[in-house]
Amino acid sequence: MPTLEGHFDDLQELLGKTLLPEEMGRTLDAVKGEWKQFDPSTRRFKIELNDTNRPDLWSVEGIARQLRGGRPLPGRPYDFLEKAEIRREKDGDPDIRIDPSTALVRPFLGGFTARGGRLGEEGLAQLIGTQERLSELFGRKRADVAIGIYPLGRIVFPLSYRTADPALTRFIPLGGEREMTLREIVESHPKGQAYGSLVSSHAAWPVLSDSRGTILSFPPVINARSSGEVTGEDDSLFVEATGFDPGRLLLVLNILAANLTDRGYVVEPLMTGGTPPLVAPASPGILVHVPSGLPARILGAPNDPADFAETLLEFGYSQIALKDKKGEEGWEVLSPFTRDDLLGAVDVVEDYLVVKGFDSFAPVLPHEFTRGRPAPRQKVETRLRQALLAMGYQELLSNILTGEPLVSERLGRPGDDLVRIDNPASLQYAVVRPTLMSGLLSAEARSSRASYPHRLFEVGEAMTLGEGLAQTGRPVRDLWLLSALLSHPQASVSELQGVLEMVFERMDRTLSIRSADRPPFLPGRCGVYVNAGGKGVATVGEIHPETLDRWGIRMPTVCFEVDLEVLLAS
Amino acid sequence: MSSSSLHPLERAILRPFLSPPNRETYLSLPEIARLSGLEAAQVQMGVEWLKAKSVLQERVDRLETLVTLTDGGEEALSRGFPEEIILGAIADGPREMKDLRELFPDPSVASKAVGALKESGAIRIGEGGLVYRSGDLPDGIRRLRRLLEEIGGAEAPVVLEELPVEDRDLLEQYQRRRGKGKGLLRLDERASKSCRLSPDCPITASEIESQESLLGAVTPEMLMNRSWEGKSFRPYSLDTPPPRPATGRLHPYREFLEEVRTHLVRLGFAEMTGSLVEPEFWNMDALFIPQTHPARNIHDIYLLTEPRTATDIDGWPLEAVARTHEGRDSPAPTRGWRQSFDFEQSRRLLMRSQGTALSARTLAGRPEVPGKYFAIARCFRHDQVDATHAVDFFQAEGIVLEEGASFRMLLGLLALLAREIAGVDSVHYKPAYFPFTEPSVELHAHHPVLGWMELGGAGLFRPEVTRPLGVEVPVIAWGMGIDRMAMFRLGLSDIRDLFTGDLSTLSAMIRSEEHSRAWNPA
Repeated sequence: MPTLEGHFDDLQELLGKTLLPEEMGRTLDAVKGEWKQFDPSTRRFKIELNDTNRPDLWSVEGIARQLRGGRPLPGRPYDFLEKAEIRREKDGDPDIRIDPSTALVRPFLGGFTARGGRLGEEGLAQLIGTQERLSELFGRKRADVAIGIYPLGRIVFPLSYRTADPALTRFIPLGGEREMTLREIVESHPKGQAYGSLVSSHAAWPVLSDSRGTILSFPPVINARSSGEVTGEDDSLFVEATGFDPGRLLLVLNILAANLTDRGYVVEPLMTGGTPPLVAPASPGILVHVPSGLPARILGAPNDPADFAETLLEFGYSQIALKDKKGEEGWEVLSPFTRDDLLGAVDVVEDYLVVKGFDSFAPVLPHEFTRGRPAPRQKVETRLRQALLAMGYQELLSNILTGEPLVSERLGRPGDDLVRIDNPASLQYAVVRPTLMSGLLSAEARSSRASYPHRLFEVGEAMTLGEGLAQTGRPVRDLWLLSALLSHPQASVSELQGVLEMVFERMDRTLSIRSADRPPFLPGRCGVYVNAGGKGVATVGEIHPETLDRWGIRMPTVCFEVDLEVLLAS
Repeated sequence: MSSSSLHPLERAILRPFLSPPNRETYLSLPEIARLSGLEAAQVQMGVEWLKAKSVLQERVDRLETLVTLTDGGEEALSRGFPEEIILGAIADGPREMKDLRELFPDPSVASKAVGALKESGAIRIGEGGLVYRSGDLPDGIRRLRRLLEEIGGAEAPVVLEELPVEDRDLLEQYQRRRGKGKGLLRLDERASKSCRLSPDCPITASEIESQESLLGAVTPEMLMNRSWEGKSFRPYSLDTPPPRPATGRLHPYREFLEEVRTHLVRLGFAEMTGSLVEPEFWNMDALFIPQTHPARNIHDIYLLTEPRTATDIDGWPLEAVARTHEGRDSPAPTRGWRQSFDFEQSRRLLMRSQGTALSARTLAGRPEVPGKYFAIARCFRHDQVDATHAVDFFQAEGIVLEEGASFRMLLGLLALLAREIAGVDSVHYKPAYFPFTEPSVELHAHHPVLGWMELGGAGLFRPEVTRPLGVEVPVIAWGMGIDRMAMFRLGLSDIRDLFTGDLSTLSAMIRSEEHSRAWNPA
């Protein structure tokens, strides 16, 4: 989730209103934000934004705009939307030409100019932070959207976006001292190393240059030094975005245009060539139909239709009109130009409820009676847990992910049937446990100081690979197990066998035992209980001293493990 | 104070005091042991009882120092003293000082030991700073080792004051040289005590002896042959601490989960269960989480090495879900995510990352309407494990299917759950975002100690979730972070302790649980 840092005075100025730090928690409900941190001495704050689908809120300007109800600041209108319409109608030569060769690599580029404002130190920090969040999170590390911002001063229009030979095309990258080819940049420049893989599989790579042929940038990797780095004093800027989806580009450019307008810039849309041409920023014209009964149905209470429309207009919606769709009465709602998150009518209704305030609705309880019941498996577990409790056993609860050695080498068992994690965060948690015994032995190994005897058990889920066909591979098989451990100076198999047979009795099962030879048990002191069909239900035995030594246990120890699925089916 | 309530141990201790020459004399504890023929531990116990009854008075004769080995001491014995390690290292030829320093985690240890060895003539420093062996291990070190071995091997703690003077000096010297906090020895002061009969004690020797005829334990033989008739029983002191039985315990966290389960069943919820491994389809796609969502990249979920993809896709509403994601011909009115749906990714297997996967399966499996379902499911999170992140954990969640299910009903249900499960009355509903619900809400509750905290998330399932799964009624969905509630109840600050294998941590958890329960019987 995006986190935003800013200055409280900057936020108040953009809002045109005084705020109280102690009320920010509730104030931010309207933007689904959390007031994470505020330092009264520096007046800097941190906000965490929960709506991953509303990048328009990922900036101080955006938060202030939503809190203003989407309205522009006095004297700073969002008139670029009308200008875009005019530019589109005027047609003529594009401001940015697109070479068809970019279609395979990174097909779309849009941009605009912004003049006459001043960022200052705080505004610059916000602009860079917003650019970062939009390209890293919304643009998925620049794969979907990358943003370039330039001082406008030295750029001569029209620009041209084309592909070029990575070995022959060269310029001085931002942060570099000498001319480098595109390939050198990807190989040795930090930004090239970070983002070069987005283009490096192609034979020709994208570059943006101005009418004199000066290279401005190598999207989505880096800008050229010659066009300069943006400072807080720059009063005119050129902003562009590249990517694969014109809708996403437009959204990002609309957000940046609105933010710069809020900072006092006058935004001029530019037209990029192509069919159709792309004019940005511009209204994306997203219309959503909201059936007229829906708000009341979702809320569970009648509501005033006029209030619905008014409330949404106050929340930044630019147009709401009564309109039928396929014979269904309802509203046609035009999405705010900085938002792309309205997928359907429910999203519009949520906005309405947010403005009204969730705490303002009277909660009601479900009306219908339903029959509650635990899973059948839980009833069995309760029975087993009670039985072991009565016999003086202490219950354990262990993690299901564990380290491979604990369930293979340490038990003297092969790891062939382990369910392995392909991308473990740590080798300590790299396989799904196939047995609960390693959890019990780990506990025993850590507990030599606790007074003996130790009687431990756990019941729960585990997993193994099952039998499979050659073509389909082996499937995973969920296991449901009960294990117990007994450890004291005279611990013997027969003592624990008695416990195990009491468990069977409790479940009303009669089983016969056969001697077996299974690690980690001592040969000759291990047995398997089988059901009438000869299927193994439980293993019991004395842990081999060699195994005890591997765990660092210095006390005679016996264990059993029951496959509850098989037991119940017996 | 009647002599008739004396324990045989007490009588044995009192007997030496009651012979005339000792009536006013102080006897030390070892003397009492010798005269009574009792073990030191028995004397200690009996004297405590008699003191409590004001039969004996105690005085402190002098303070003694008990010497035991610290972990550092044990380690020095097994690893060797720095002096021994250094002499060992140069046994086969001289070494540079720098090498010797590297033998120790704290280089100053090496410098000090080299200084001491040089002083004793065991080593000399030659050309180029090379350290040569020139003699034997200093006598002091050898004696120190013998002494520490004695102390480490002794049955009872050694009394410093009872050691020969030269040994005592040696220990003090070494202890000083090693500096504070690195000591090999632990010194505990203990008072050497002696006792005498209280001047106003009315007990006489004859009284003590007459008690010998009192009966002790009731035995089956005694009952059989009625030998108790006409005799008196010795009264027992019931205020002595009794031995306690070892008992079994259910795991307190598991008990907490059972409690949550009971509440939910009582409120009309039926339990859902499922496999620990889910395909992305049920864990993500069916919940309308876009395939490019950050929560779906490999740094957030655990994928399997084998098998990698699900094969049992019969009956999955794959087409309807795919069309909904792409935003074309969806059973729900939606723009969708407007990106092409990857069927391969949909079959990829992962460790269940949210219990909501079970709700999705339930919705697709012809659920009862009206119906309420819940799960307490083990889920897996791809995170570095620390005090606030566990590798696997429990999530409680549920769904309500009802013709008139609404947002107000969702709020009512959340308030009910907060009251029933978490025991809080004051709640705040904060707007939230989840890809699968709209409207979405976070439930914040005011806890008397912890202040405002997030208890869970909820919402009405989007039509993009319900319609492709064949559900036409509105569905309320909620989830609760029960780990945090449990940690508070069990007095834990580290989430890893919920799954600890450490029996002492577990006992502490049980005590804390009992404490909180004793004060909150509800």
